[in-house]
Amino acid sequence: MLIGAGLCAVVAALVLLWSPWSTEEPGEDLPEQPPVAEAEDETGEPEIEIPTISPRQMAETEAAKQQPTDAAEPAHELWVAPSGQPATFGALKLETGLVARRTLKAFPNDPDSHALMGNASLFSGRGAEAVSAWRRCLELDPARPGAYDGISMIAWKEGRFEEVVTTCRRALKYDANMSDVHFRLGRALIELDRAEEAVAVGQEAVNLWPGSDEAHLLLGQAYVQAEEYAEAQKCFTRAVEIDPNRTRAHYGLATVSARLGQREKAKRHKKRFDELINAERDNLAVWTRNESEASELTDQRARTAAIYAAAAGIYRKHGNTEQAERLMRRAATINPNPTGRR
Amino acid sequence: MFEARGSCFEGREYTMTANLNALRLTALLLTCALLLATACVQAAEPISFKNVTEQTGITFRHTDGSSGRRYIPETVSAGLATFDYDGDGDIDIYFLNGAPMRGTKVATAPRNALYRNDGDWKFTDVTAEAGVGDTGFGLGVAVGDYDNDGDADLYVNNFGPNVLYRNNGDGTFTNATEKAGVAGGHRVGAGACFLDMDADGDLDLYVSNYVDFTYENHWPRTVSGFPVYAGPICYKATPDGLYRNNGDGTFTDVSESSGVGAIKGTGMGMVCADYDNDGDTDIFVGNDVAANSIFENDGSGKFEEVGLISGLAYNRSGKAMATMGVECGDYDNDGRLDFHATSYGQELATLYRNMGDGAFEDVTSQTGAGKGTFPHLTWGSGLIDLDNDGNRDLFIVCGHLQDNVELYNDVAQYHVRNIVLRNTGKGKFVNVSDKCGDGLEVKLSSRGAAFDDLDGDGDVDAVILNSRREPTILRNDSKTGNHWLQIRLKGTKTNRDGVGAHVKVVAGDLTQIDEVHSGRGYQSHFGMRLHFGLGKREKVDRVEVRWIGGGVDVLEDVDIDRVLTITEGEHVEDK
Repeated sequence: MLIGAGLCAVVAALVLLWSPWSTEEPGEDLPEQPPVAEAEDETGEPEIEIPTISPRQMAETEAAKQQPTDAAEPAHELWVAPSGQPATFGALKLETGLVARRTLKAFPNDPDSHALMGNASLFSGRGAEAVSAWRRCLELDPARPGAYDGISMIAWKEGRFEEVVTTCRRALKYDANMSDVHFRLGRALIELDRAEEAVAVGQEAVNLWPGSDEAHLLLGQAYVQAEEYAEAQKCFTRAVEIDPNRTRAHYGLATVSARLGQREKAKRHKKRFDELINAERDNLAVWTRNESEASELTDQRARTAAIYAAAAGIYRKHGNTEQAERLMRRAATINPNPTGRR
Repeated sequence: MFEARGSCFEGREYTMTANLNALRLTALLLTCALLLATACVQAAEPISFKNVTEQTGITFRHTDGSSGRRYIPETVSAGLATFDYDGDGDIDIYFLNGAPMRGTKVATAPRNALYRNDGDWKFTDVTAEAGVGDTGFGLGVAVGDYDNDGDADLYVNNFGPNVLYRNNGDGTFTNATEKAGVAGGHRVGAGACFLDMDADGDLDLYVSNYVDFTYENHWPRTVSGFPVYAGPICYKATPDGLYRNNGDGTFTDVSESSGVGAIKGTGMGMVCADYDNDGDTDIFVGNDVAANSIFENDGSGKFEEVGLISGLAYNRSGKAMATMGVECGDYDNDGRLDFHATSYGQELATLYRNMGDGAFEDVTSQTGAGKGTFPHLTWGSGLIDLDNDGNRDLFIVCGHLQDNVELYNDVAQYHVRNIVLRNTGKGKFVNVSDKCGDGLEVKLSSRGAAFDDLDGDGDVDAVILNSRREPTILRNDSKTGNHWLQIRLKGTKTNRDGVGAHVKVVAGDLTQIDEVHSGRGYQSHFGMRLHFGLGKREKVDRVEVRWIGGGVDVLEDVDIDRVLTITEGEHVEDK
């Protein structure tokens, strides 16, 4: 059990690294923060407004608020987490929502609670609620790159690329080392045909992570958008040097080599791309066929346990170690093996 | 700004006068700006569609035969056809329908439905008297005069045996499948196209197939604990079929000898078009979660797959899209046919620009042709000039295939609105869906879409097949004052419909091209009567038709705002 709890703590730490909670000092009382739109921009850059959620998101969030919750629960009462192993996906999602709501009720002015609610909502497939929670988190503390990251993820899913750019830039302002955010920003700029900006973002990614094939691939794709094929070719070549089996880098090389009139080179990379993508498709087919309700359940267990562990962190920060301990134990019960399949 | 200028002068009175003048000037400028903006909005957003479904008398309702077990063919039904079945000059509608899947019980078997256009937006169900009420599980359809007798025949691609209906020329059809030999076995079909692959003057037949689904190899799947339809990745890809017309009412299966049988794909919508402008008809098959197939014709009906080389197999970054439908047209009026492919959610419906010499580039981002499509599954599409300004716009129909998607993914919806993107003529598309009238407010899960001038008023209307629901019939009410020309081809030496013929229309500074296609979009058929918007140009200087096989007819000083029939060989230009 203790090993399980320890492993859960590792997962929670990972979640915290990604989430906005990691920027808080434990045990601190949280001061009220001005809303982000009014916050002073220390970098002197034009202020970026928090994107508003869509009317549909708003309506759904309102609808969700109407649903019965554990409203009767006294806010600061020590509550006992359920016992036993949840058997279904639905039960796990319910528990995920429950722990996030109760934590939020206990610490409504703690941005970590709202961030936790955002993550729990995301895990439960409720993007609109997640965005709402992250926005509240940002109102309390604008310096939360994880919250911007979350909002940008949802914006990406809905194809709102301008908003992706805005939120990713804001996230990177507070933490320039978020590689996923960097790459998402670059891809959104490419989708918006803002090639010059995409090249700049890609170049920055390469500078930050020179050993990352993803960074070189992004820069190459940005150069393709800018129709600078020779530069793109250099980037794709570097990506292939780092990972010889990087399928899309071979596609990039095939495409730009053809544009540069290098037919033999284009042919060679087309052949390699063909081999790799067929293998990818075969692997995906095997994976999809092996994907089962049981494996999905394992994934959800890991997510629910991570939420419990993160909630424990919030309680610990506020000095309630007893409840923190309970929550960690529950995390370990739900997911004794937090490494999970994913 | 004016305040600042006024404050430069010394003396209060002068400053006040300056301010008053400035105010008047400001008011004048604001009024002008307002008038200009109003004019711009009127000029820029003229596309308007009215939902006239109820008044048409069309009572067809699609069924996917779902049993609750979520068999994959249910998700991809079905296409439709708009064509003139009775030769009376107006366009009729043929809807495909699903059929009960195993485990589904129905009192009356659902069937396909043919509606005769009676004019004034009234349609009559003539399915029974025409004899085209196939009760198979309909997926794709193509129309072509395969026996060159002057009327339109129908081919239906099913899950199960396919059906060829020969038009008897008197408003009735005869099931000629067995004689023709094109039933195609028991497969999950998809799109179909007639084409003259060997320039012998009769129409051959390409039949696309989806996956190797059977009830026995059905994959039940879940997402977030919810049961969902499995994707094509769970099944094996299958080769398509190609039939050569023997000219005597029969066909020979040449899938293997032609080269197309060597390629296995997850075929969906398709279109046959001369992608490399070399005078013969090539084949573009959209594949679901796999590289698209481009079969290049050597002119004799032998094909080589060139998807990867052409740049049409994948999107810009090398991703195999979940291609649903395929459409073609020259969006940038550069004299070359471009392609549009619809796709799955979290993917952009993709526009491929033809750069010449058989090479294409994905220009979706540069042109804005993917706007509004990313969150949705997109199916049928039309590269059609909706406002007759001489530039082809995009009409894209949408709807998820998982009927419970909202339960596990709140950024996706089963029922969604369709999308209209207006072509500015400057290489960009603008999403005008919100300004196109009530026709674009309909939220359903659409599949096939067909675009033709149903009321003969010179603009292109739309018919949309919606999964599990009634269709949507949209009347184009755009008030543009723009001119147009529609061209119907009549082959004499080549196939009767002129399928594959290439048409160039020159009106002053505007040159447009198009081709006659049989089968296009999402497993559908439409647009055999070619439509050219002309803007304010009041005459067409030249129409040039290049028939399959190389014959050319040329007409000069052509009157506009009418349907022009061009018969092969009647306008041969003196050299």
